[in-house]
Amino acid sequence: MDGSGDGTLNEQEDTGKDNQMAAINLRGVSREWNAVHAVKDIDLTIDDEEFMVFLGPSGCGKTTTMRMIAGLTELSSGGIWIGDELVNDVDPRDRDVAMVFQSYALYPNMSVYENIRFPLRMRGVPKARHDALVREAAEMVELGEFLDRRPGVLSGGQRQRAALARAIVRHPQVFLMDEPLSNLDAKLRSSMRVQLKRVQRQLKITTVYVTHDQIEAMTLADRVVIMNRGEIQQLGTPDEIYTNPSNTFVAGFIGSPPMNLIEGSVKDHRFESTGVLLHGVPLEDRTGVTLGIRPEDTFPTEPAAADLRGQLYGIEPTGDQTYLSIKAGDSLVEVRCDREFRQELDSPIAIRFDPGRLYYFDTASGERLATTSQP
Amino acid sequence: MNDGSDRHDEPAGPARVFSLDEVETRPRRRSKGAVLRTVVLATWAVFCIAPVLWFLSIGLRPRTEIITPQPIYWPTFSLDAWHMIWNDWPMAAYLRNSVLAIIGSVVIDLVLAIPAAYSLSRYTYRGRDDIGFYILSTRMMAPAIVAVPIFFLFRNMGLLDSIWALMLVYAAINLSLVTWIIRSYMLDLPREIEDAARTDGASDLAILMLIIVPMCLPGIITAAVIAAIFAINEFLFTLLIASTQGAYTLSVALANFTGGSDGIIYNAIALVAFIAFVPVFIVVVLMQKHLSRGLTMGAVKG
Repeated sequence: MDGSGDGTLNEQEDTGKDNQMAAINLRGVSREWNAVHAVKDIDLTIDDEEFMVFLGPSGCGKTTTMRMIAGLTELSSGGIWIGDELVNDVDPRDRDVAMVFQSYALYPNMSVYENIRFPLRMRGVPKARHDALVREAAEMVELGEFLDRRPGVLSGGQRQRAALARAIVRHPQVFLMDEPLSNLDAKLRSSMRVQLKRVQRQLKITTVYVTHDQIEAMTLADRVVIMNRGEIQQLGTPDEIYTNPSNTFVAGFIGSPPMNLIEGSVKDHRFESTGVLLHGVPLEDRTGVTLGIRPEDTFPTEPAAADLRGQLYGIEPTGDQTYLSIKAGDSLVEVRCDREFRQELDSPIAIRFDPGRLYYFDTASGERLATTSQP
Repeated sequence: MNDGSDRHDEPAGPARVFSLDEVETRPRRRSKGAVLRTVVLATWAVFCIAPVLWFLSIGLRPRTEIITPQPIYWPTFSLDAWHMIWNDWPMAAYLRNSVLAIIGSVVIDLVLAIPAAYSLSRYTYRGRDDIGFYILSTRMMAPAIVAVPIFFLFRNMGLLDSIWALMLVYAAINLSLVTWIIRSYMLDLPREIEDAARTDGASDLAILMLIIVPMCLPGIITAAVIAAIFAINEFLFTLLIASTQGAYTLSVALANFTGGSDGIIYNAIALVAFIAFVPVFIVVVLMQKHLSRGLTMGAVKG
């Protein structure tokens, strides 16, 4: 078993080299159904061996985009290249992609072993190699002992791993994963996340991963595409997305709890809103400015030094820290502070913002505003 | 397989834990329910089986005990009718014709209906729904309307009085229903499994044969059993097409016992009807476990 396993690993590294440069290019890709734009004019390059996550709320077009890469949904316009090949008219079975579905989509009439072997049978891999390849894939996801069971008797996590093994067994050029972890419970999800990332690193296969869970996106991705209403909102590394959001949608979508967005106006380099007065704002005078500040970049402080004054509306100790909701006018501002922090509800409270972590957006368009270097 | 699948539908994982009270009260509640269920089901079973047994008892009594003013509940046992149908009538030929015609027609139905149902349930093309309704609508018409055209059709093809003609006619009668049953079963199958097969490299034919058909097996078997029952009961077209024992089936042969100088031979009729009933009954019992839906469970999240 050990010996044959080593042999196949080497063989697969060879085939892996044959599949060089599995970059994916999307150019002007659109999809519409009866004048409803699911995906609008997307341009995107996914690099070879990259782990790319499509992140967005449901209905944002991320799954449609993935299905177009798989060939399961036709493009309305535009083009998709896998490697150097334009694949618009290539049948899914002739694209060298493997997909993992949210529902696992295992074949109920076959054992786990036959499920994993199915792609090998369909793609004409010589029969002599099947057994070793299946066992190797099953080992990789720690499923070895369940090979002779039917999917129906497996737990959710085991089914998901069987689906994963079926995808990795033939070492495709591209992995496509459509919310593969969202049916699992929280604990299993985090351990599967780690396993998934290890497998992808080991196999060095270009991966597109669709999710609405920002934790998955932040932890798994080399780069994240944030989508909304069929359009790309921002493309960047998890760090860039978090520290440098390009609009209010991204700012409000990433982070838990998300960034506070406070509408107001700027005059004489001062930002004003109900309960908020902020000095030294690097913007020219204008109305319709949205100030963004993350809960972790805010601190309770002396009233004299405060940027925000309001009433304590809610207090949520989570163990390692305490979250405060502060009511200023009609809006609520989330603040993160030490775990020991306690204060009476409805009592006045003063908050200071970290001046290096402030973001300004145009309220109407939501776009980030360019700040002048000198306040 | 059958008893297993029910249990497996429960989410796998750690065994469910019952509190002590539950452990104590559960068996009692279950046994009370079980008694009631048994009584109801037993009553229903007697209600269903009684006519069949009565029929059998008519077939196995002498002719003199059939037409009497008072029903005879404990008749004399007699194999008169049994000897008569096997010795004086070509029962073996009737039975053979019935079985061959039915099996042939069901095979034809399945070969045509499975791809048709797949197409109707999966592909989008112009007029698909109309075609689907047209197929079903062929069942809405009284068969007598097409009886005469069918007779001329088969006469011109030289297929009168042949089992092949019966296969074709039975298949034609049942095709719409079989297609419709399998189609509605396929509509319930999760699409993602086919998407998975497609990205795994399967052709349309491989998807149909290796994925769809096994998953639809309960539906296919249900449709086949229903088609077989309709076929064994078919009378009108068989009467038109068959004219000798070369093509007579059990249902038409029955009619032979109603005329002639001997009058209506009730015990022979009852026995032949019972013989026609037995194979269907056996098939249904054998296929019973497939007539349930358990098979697709567990494919898509449980």
